[in-house]
Amino acid sequence: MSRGGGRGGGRGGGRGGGRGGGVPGIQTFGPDAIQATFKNPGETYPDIILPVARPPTDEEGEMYIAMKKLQETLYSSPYYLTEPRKPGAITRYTDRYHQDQAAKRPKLDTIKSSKSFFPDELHSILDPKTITRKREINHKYDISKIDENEDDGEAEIDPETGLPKKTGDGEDGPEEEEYEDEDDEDDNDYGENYFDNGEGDDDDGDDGDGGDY
Amino acid sequence: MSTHENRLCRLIVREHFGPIVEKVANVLIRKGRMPVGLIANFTALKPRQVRECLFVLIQHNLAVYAESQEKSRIVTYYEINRTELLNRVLIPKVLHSSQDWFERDGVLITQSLLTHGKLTITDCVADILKTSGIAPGKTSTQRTQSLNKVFTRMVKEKCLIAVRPSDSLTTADKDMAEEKRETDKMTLPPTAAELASIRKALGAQKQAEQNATIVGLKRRLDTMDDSYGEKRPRLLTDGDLVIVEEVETDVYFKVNFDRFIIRWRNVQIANLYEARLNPTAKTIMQTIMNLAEERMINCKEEHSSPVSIMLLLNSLPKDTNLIDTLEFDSSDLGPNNTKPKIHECLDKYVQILEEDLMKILKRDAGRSGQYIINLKMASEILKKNLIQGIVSARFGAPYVRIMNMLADKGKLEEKQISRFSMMPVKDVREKLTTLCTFGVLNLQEVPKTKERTPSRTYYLWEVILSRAADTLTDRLYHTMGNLRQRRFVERAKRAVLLNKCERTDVKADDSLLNAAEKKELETLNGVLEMLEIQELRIAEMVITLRDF
Repeated sequence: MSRGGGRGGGRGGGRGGGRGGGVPGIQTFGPDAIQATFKNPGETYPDIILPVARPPTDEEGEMYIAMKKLQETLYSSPYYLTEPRKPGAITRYTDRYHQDQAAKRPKLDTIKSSKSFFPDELHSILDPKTITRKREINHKYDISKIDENEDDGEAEIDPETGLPKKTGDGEDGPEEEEYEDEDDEDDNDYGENYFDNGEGDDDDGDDGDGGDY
Repeated sequence: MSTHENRLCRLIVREHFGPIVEKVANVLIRKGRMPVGLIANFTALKPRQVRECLFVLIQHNLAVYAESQEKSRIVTYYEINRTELLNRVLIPKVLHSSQDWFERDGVLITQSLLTHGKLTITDCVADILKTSGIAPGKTSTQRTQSLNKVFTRMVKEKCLIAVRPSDSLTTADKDMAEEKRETDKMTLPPTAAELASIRKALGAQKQAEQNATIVGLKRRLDTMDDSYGEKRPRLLTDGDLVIVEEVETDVYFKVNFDRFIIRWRNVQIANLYEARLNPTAKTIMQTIMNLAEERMINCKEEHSSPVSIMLLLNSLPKDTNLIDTLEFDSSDLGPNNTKPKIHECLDKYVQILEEDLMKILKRDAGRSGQYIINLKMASEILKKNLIQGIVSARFGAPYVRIMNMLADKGKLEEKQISRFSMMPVKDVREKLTTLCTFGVLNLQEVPKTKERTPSRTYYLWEVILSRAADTLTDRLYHTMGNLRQRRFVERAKRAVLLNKCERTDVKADDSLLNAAEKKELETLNGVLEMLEIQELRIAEMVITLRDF
């Protein structure tokens, strides 16, 4: 297909020239813009003159430097998560100088934060010694007490979450399962897979192409 | 929630937190709230990795969670906080403004909080001392005191805001829990009217909490005792006691983007008057906005709190020249032609500002000598000016003429537009269609008969400012996403060179890079700078259209 072949040189010239008199190309921005209409659609791939952005000011330059510094700090912080560097198939001389950034970064359990901001299942990230307990609701009913006040058997509701509060004693509760952190368990947790409709196949994160500016 | 917004959110997470957190954030952005197991399913990551990513997102206030009771267990659902995520594009401007308002210590505090998400004052100061060290000639105690002082000032001015554990919960779940608490007090289920009144009362309560004292700030009494060195210490009286405000050491704080946006908006409102009147009018307007700013909570308020003219007179900068920048009639000056006094000049200025066609400043009806700002009108003017600028740069003056005419006159037919704008109907029709496709104009059909045939239907064109702002915001998100993606592509093109630059031997010795590689790095730096600055310029436009 040589559709663009004939116009390749002209397009390069148009793009390289930018704005200026005598440069081939169609103005698509501003008061002299030629808009495509139904009756006059124009060429399929016209040579267009793109507007040139104004140069950065001193303030903007300072903002860029500040942002670059922050990005470097974030890159070396424990919050930037990457896979550990895998050794390549061929061993090279310069491999000794390459650092594994993932190993160099501090771990997440070294950061200063409070467990109250996170749900129970994330406490083990901040404090690896935490043993997470599965919270179960007590559904044991005593038939002889069925006519009494309903409030007696219910747990106290947490005002913030609207859920039953965790009780310290486990006298009437069911047997609670205690388990260690899930590193040694299988990755597949069949109990939480019941929503899977096969929707996991098309998720490649391709949201759009680069359109016009 | 559009595709462009989702893409931009995903790219922000990738740049700041890496590809693994990006996968988790992408799933939450596109598919909504879900528990850890489902996220692990969609992302093919281990549950431990998913939990680490969620931990990072919650720590940076980008995700919230809700615990839901399902059968016999409690399941935790996670959701992305889009507002905070999209605010991260404003970080360069926030850092620059921190430098302007709070100097170097303010920048260091802001940087530390943006790196860690949320910190207490003690941890923040410790982090700064560890990373930037102590300047020679100063002790650690002095440095800590100066950082504490700046931190306290930032909290008092609400540039930093306290974070409570309840802020990690989803707003909808919190509101539902409060509603349930109120309805549980009633014996019968609530009617629709009762439910509406409960919701209104809870909304008012939330508003009152926001207006109340600043969370995380405590007051204590301290002495102004100057009797050091005296042989006999004197008895302290009530006059020696002062109230000192301190930040509580166990409260976590984060950067309050809303306050920065409010200040930027106030500056833009004041700048409107510089072009219309003179720089002194801008100074007066800026002072009024600064005085009213303390009680502003967010940009969506309709009016500011009242500002008295006496307070304005005392708060004006000392170098403001009110007398020479005004012209008085000879009848106003009196028989001796004496120059008017400063308060008379200020009264005259305020009168001119009040009579200006923009109608932003107006007298407070209930109290004399007090003025309020019509923030809603000011925001609309800022948005309209920006949309006009975009249309003018993109299409040209005739399109702006049509848009302004429709904004002033309301709904018009194309024949009327052609007559008012003095353009042929054929040209007007093309321009109207172009503007409608762009998203600035709306078409309203008014059928004459119930068959709705095109020949017997009025087609009225109009400008709806909120819709135009939303459509243009989406276009700007698309552009920002393109710019961000371009940065990744430019880095990916030079991945081998960047990999080489990260080697320890190259970092220690620059001469291992040859001239071509150094030039390539310089080119890359220039390209990245240009792309970042362009994105920042577009982000400023987005906050005008979305947040003002």
